Formats: sequence, C-alpha cells, structure tokens
Amino acid sequence: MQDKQIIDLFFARDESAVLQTKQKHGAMCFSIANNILGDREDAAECENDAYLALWNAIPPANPRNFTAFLAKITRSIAIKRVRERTAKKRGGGQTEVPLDELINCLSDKNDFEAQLRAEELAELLGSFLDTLKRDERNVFVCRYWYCDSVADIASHFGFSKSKVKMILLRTRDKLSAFLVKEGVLL
Amino acid sequence: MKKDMKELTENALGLLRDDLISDAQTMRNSPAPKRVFWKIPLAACLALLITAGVCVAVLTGRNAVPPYHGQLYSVPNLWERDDFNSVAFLFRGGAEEASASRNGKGMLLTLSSRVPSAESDDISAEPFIETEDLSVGLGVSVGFENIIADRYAVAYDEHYYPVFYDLEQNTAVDLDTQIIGDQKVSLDPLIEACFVYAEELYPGMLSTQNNRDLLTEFVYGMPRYLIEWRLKYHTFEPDLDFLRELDGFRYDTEENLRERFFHECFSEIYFRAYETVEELYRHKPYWVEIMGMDGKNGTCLAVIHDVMGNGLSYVLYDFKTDSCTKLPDNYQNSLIGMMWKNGDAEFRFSADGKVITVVYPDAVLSGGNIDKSYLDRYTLEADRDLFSYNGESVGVFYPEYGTAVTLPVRASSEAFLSKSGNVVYYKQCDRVRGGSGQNGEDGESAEAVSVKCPDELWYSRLYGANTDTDNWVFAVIDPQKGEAVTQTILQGNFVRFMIGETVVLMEKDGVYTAYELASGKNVTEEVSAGTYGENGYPYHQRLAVYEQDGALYHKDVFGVFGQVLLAEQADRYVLSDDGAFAFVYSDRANEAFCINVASGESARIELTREFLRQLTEIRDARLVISYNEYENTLVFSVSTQAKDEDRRAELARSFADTVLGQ
Repeated sequence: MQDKQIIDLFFARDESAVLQTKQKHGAMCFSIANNILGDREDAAECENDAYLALWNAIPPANPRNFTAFLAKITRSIAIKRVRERTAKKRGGGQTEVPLDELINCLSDKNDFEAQLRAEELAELLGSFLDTLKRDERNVFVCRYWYCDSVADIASHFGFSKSKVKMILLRTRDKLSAFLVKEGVLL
Repeated sequence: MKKDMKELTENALGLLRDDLISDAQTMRNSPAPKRVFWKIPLAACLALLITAGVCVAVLTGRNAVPPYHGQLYSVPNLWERDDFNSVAFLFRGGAEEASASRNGKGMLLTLSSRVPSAESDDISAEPFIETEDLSVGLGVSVGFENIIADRYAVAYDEHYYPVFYDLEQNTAVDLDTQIIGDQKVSLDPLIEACFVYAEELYPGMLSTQNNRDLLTEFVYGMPRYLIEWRLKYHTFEPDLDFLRELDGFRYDTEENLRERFFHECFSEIYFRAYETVEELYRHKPYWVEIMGMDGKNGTCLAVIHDVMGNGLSYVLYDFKTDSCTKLPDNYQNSLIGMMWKNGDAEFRFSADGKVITVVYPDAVLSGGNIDKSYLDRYTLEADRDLFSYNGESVGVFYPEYGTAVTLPVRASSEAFLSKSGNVVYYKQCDRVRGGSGQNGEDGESAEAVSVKCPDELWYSRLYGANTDTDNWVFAVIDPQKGEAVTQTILQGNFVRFMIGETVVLMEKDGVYTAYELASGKNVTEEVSAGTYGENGYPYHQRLAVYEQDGALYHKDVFGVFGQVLLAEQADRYVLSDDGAFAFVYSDRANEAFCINVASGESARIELTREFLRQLTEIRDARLVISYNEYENTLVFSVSTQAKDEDRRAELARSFADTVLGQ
C-alpha cells in the first residue's frame, strides 16, 4: 500500500491504518528503536508507542514524507526513553556511542556558539549533508540519526567495515571544518 | 558544556530534513550492492601476483651516477599487517611514488613529488595516501598495475577485472558496464555466461527483467542469495506447474518450492557458467585486458574478450568522460602491438593483414606494407616497429614517414635495431627450416626435415631458424625512401653496442673488436685510444661487469682498465641499464653492496638472506624496493644525493617510519 493511502486511512480514522503502517514500516521503526535503546522489548514498546503517536498526530498532521515522519516520531520516543532510563541510572542504549563519536569530534577543540539553537544547527547539518556524495550522506545519517552500528551500515551498503569507519571519520572532519567556517564552532 | 552540546546536537539531529532521513532509509531497505565473493580465484590471483609481481623500482636519472649511500628499512610481517595482501610497486611521472594494496585498498607510498636535480636533495617522505575501497563491489583488488596521467590508478580484482581509481577525486571509476558505440556491453563474463545457460536449461525463464535481475544478483551475491531472493520474492511468479513436473522439486509448500527452484536452477546455471568462464580464463587470462595507457591524455586501450565467441573488441576508454569508443570493425583481431612515445601510447594495428595502422590518441596513420601473415615476432625497439617473419625476412615500420622496409634475408628470428632505429642488424643463418615450409640453402622442405629430425624442426619452428653463423648483417636504412642504403656483414658472437651508429663493437670469444659500419674497417685501435669520432663515446658503455669464481670484476672491454670490483662472493648482481651502477648480493656472506662501477666506490648494506631474490631490475641507485618472500618482509633501500649524512638518514628514516607507522 502506498504511504498516501495509509495517510488516507488515518484521516478516515480507520484502525487498519496502524496495521498497514506496521506491515510496511514496522521493521524500520523497530530497528530505529532497537538501535537507540539496545533492548528488544523496549524497542517493541517504543514501536507501539510510535503507532499511537502517529494515530494522534494524523490528523491534523498530513506529512508529505510519511516514512521520515514516522521515523522521527519513533526516534524521538526512543531517545526520550533513553533519557528517562539514564535519569534512573538504568544504563543507556547504543545511541550514546554514535552521538559521543560526533560530539567528541565537534568539541575536540571547539565549543558551539552559545546562542545557537537546535533548529539552526539542524539547518546547517542539512546544508552540510547536501555537499556530500549520496553514499557518504547516507552513511552519516544511518550512523548518527538511525544509530545503526558500523557493521549494519557496512552490510546495508555493501562496504567493508573499515571503509564505513573511514567515511565517518572523514565526514566528521569535514563537518567540523564546515561548522567552523560557518561560525558556529568557535 | 559538553552535556549542553550533546543535547543541542541530539535535538538538531532530531530536526534533520525529511528527505535526508527517507533517503537513508531507502538505502537501509535496499539489498546490499553486489559483491564478488569467490575466494579460490582470489587466492590464485594473489599467488600469481606474488609470484610474478614484486616489481622493483625503475627510476629515471640514468646519466647521474651518484655514489650509493644506502639506508635500509624493512616492514616485517606483512601478512599480519592488516591483511596486506599484495605487494606491487609502480612509479609514476619520474617521481618516486610506490603503490601497494592491501585488502582492497590502495596505498601510495610517496617519496617525493618532485624529480630531484643536482641542485636539489629534497627527497621527502610523505604520508601514505590510503585510497577508498577499490573493490567497488567488484571484489578485492589485488594490486595496482599502473598509474596513468598521474591521476588514475589501475588495479585488478581477483578476476583480473580492471578497477580504475581516480586519485584526485579519491573515487573509483566503475567500469561494470559501458556504452560502447550504440551497444550496451556487459563486461562481466560470468553474467553473460549465466544468461546463456539459463536460456539453454530453462527456455523462457529469463524473459522477464525481474528474473534477469534475480539471476544477476544471485551470481554477484551467492552467499546472500536467499536474503536477496526473499526481498524480491513477492514479485516473482515462476511457472509452478512446470516446476512440479521436474524431478527433485516435490515440496509441500509453494514457498519451499519457489526457494528450491531458485537454489537448484540458479546453482546449476552458475556452476556451468563458472566452468565456462574458468575455461575462458585458462586461454585468455584477462576478460578485459588493458592493452595500454595514454599517460598524457587519460585514455586507455582495452580489449574485451567476448565470452559469447564473437572474438575481440577493441575500445578506447576515456577517463575524462568515462566513456568508451569502439574501434572500427576492421581493427578487430588485428592489434599487433603497442608502444609508448613521450608518454603517449600508440597502438599498432594491421587492419587488413598488410598495412600497418598506428592509432595515436588524436590521429590515425597508416602506411607501409608489412605482411602479417608470416609474422612470428613483433617488437618495439627504438620507437620503431620491428617484425621478423619465420626467420626469412625482417621488416621495420617508420610511422612518421609512413614507410616500411622489408629485408628479404635468411636470418635468425632475433633482429635488433640501433638506437635511432635506422640500423637493423641480425645474425645470419646457414639455412632456414620449418616455419612456412620455405627451403633453406640445402633445399630441404619443412616436411622433409620433419621426417629426418623432428626435434630440430620443433626448434626451428620456435626460433625460425637454426645453424647460426657468426655473420651479423647490418643494414643502414633510409626511412624516408623506405629502403636499405647499405648492408655490411661483420663477424662476432655478440654485438655489444654501437658508437654513434657508425662504429659497432663486436665480441667474439671474449675478444672485442670495433668496426666501422659503412666500410667494415677494423677501428679497434682508434676506439680503444678514445680518439674515434667527433664526440667520443660514453665511458661507461665500454665497461663490462662480470663474475668469475665468485668475485665481481669490471674492466674496460679492451682490457685497458681491468679492475676487481668486489672480492666477495658475488652470487647475484644486477646492473643499471647504462652499466654505471651495480647492486650485488653475496649469499654466503649475506651481504649486499651497491657499487658505482666507474669509480669503484661501494657501500655495504646488511641484508636479510634472499633479499635479492625478488630484485630483478634497477636503473638508479636512489631507491630499491624488494620483497623477501621467505621472511615476509618488505625492504626499502633509500639513497639520496643529500650531502649531509644526517639529513640523508633522516629522510630515509622518515620514509620508513611512514611505512612502519601504518
């Protein structure tokens, strides 16, 4: 079923919308949640929470990119759970690893400009990613947005793990230079 | 602060644009790109590469005869070093850049980007350049073959499939499929062979694009075939009734039936095709064979061996536009050679079996009348095309004049050209046997010889002639007229060298004699006194280096300057092509020496045993790279012209550290 048809089901308040979403995008939601939470049961719960959130969001929302919309919801819920879990000192998922990887690169020698807002940084990230080749861009997004492991990325792209690591390293370096040039890394 | 940055970054990532997220998700959903996986061919190719291919530095700067100041470093245990699975070296642009590959990645070991001059002692070590994965889905590269236009590295994967790597862009150029003329040509023989067998075994099975894709993916990703097949499963509709009639496909569920079908029939197709391709490889080791590169313009000539039995196709591949141009049909099967001239490749074709056509990067030149039908040897010497025909004649093609000269002589198949290409010389024979069946002096036919002396016939067919005399024929050619001006016969076992193409030095039984070419006059006295000719002759050309009773000697060929170079046991030595420099190895003493032949100056270098085993050629004292296969050690010997000893050591160490640091 096309995403547009699924959205129509949501607008019609047809509960089969959730079933169709699960059939088409369930694997993606689970993998995002599992990558971040590192726990299959938590990930399954997170996936279900995402469907509920989707049900509540559409309508009124009418996303043009349904896949990304759902992915963002899932990721947001998963990260929220990680924060709750961290607050309870229950240990973190593997989202910490890629994020630390990125932060360490960016903050090795620099600090962010104090007044920078997340929206501005997101826009800059988008601009930066537009400058990359498709493979590089997607490797970056898979690692830092989907929190995929290096091994999984290598498998997805048909690359060796060392190549993925090399791409990530170079992309981080480029990003650091880009943000310095844009004046947000001081 | 760090926590704030983390939260900010995390939040920013959460607001990433939708298209970026969905594009990555598309990639995550897609089956992995095809990768070649065969291990046996990889091992075979590695073995081949290692056996055949530890190339040794071929450096320029022949005129300089620097004293050798060697610094020797080694990289031990290569095989344990991150799957350093091949060692191959090449040099480009006169600068000292070696390349090697490991585990599909290429490395450039850069010594210097500049050609050192007498004023410059700047040979600096630069870090490795580790390229991206060269395999680009085509398998693991096993080593660089060449670098063209100072930009493109050429590697071959385990199937000798060429992979081109753009060193500036740090990207691989995928030659998987190219448009050649109007024809889309798949360069993968296995796929083509699989299609042939699929049609043969299961007629109509590949009538849909989906099934063709499935078979292609099966071939490229056999270990992953089930995964990839499942991803495509829902769109595949085989003729199940037909399958049920086949023996061995009786399964309860439809899914199992489909899976079994694919497994069985694709495996059969695959292995039959693979056998075909292996058979092809046995006779033609390359599928796509890079015949030559144009180092200046960034084009290369490739020959495509057609697994479908349609012969060969020649294509010119242009790196700049990533496109191929198919050469005219009348060039098919007619390439007889390729040469380099000032960095440009020239491709020689015999389009109709007689006229030689030279394809330059930007022009085509035809001329001459070289009969290819009896051609048994073709060489490129002194920028000329040299042909010999079954020991019966010798031909030379002069592309700049469009002329060709054929000398109808009885000669051994070994013919040579002087440096300018205007003097042809060959050893005359008493009689000619075999080959085309033409008679020798005694009138015997090939068949008659075959009856009388089959071994001799075999020999003569290989070499065109036997029963050499000591007579050497020297023909001076006027290339503009396309004819021989003079022919002179001189005696000797070997021709050592020519002096200005007017005097030739002959050796017979260890005695050297100089003759004037035009007249045949003995001018040994004038030459040995150093008074012959207007410009004299290079000193080192008169030096001979030889080994006797384990010691190494050199002397002037006329015996004027006889001198012991090295009293040690000289088990093996190589000479630079101008005879100015020798690299000597003593197995018993386990030592190596670099010697300036002219001055006798030498430097002793401690080496591991068998170091020189892989050392095959050296033209300059400045860099020697060798691989010790017994100790699995890469050995760098670096010499510089720096006057400062410490500076030399520092530079060499820097280079070695670069290597060792990886």
